[in-house]
Amino acid sequence: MTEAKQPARGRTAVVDPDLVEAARVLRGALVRVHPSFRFEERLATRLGTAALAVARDGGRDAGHARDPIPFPGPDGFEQLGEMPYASSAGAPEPRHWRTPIPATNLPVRLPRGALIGGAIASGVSLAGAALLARRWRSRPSRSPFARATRAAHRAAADRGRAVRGGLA
Amino acid sequence: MRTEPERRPPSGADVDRAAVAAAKRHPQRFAVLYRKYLPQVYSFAFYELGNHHDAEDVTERVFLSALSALPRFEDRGEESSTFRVWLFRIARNAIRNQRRALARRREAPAALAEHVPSEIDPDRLALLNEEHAQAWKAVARLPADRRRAVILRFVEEMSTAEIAAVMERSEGAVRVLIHRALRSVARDLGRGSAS
Repeated sequence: MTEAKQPARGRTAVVDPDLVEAARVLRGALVRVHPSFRFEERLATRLGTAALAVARDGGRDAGHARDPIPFPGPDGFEQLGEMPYASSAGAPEPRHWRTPIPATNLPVRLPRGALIGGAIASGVSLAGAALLARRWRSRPSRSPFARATRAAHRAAADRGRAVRGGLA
Repeated sequence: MRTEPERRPPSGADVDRAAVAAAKRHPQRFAVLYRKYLPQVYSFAFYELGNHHDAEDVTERVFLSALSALPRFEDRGEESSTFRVWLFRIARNAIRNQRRALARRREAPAALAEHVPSEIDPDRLALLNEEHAQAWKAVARLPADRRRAVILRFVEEMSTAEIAAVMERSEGAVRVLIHRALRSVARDLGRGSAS
């Protein structure tokens, strides 16, 4: 085959018959191998998803479609829309690391700062309330009404002690 | 495994130009190129890697990469710059990466290493015809570059210029590779003398 250019220089092409025979055998033995229909259709579905991503992103990178797990925004997962392969019809089989994770299985991310701040505020509130309650109880009121109440209470107690002592 | 004994005519320089232009405008039209070249890319990967799982992985990666990079593809009107050659160069790189990954996995525990294919398994893939089985074994024993050239020639029916472009070698080097490969195959088939 490769010696076919030699006759252009006026020489007789001498092709080794063994090589011709080997080429004949290889031509018959090395057939084209097809993938399975299942793989073909699964990849077609995947390429369709990737093509949509390319059309949407202007061809920047179809590789994003390979890992279709967008980062959740602050408003939750509603804005993510339907995950690829979420529908049961024509859904491909899960396939190791490329399997998209359904949105329902994604962990809910709560704002860490709000959690920490909330815990501190609650602690301060509880501790402050307890401290104020103890101080309110230990410090006598200076209002006239309070003073009169305490005086009446003391007088009643003194009368009681006198009765119990036989003085009345 | 399905096989296709009949051959398709080799792609010329311009056969895919319209389909590529359409796919550039509308990525969904890439399906036309996918359906056309899936068996070729898959065959190439299968012959190179020797099992269906790795061939599927590589094929998937090739078409996703091609779809992503299609806007950057330019057909310069030469036989060595067609979409087909470009696609097979992507496949060649993907196969090389797959081989590296498999080599790294060989260092993993033995349970994983048992599933790592090394070369084409002639016994598993042997055809009913004894002559074909011997040809398979002969091809499996070829060095990687000779085997690749033979596969591109006889399975994919590429021209010397196309093979040279895919393998990034000169056309003369490709002729030498194929000539030596045929010599080795002929010797293994008992039809040639050692040289």
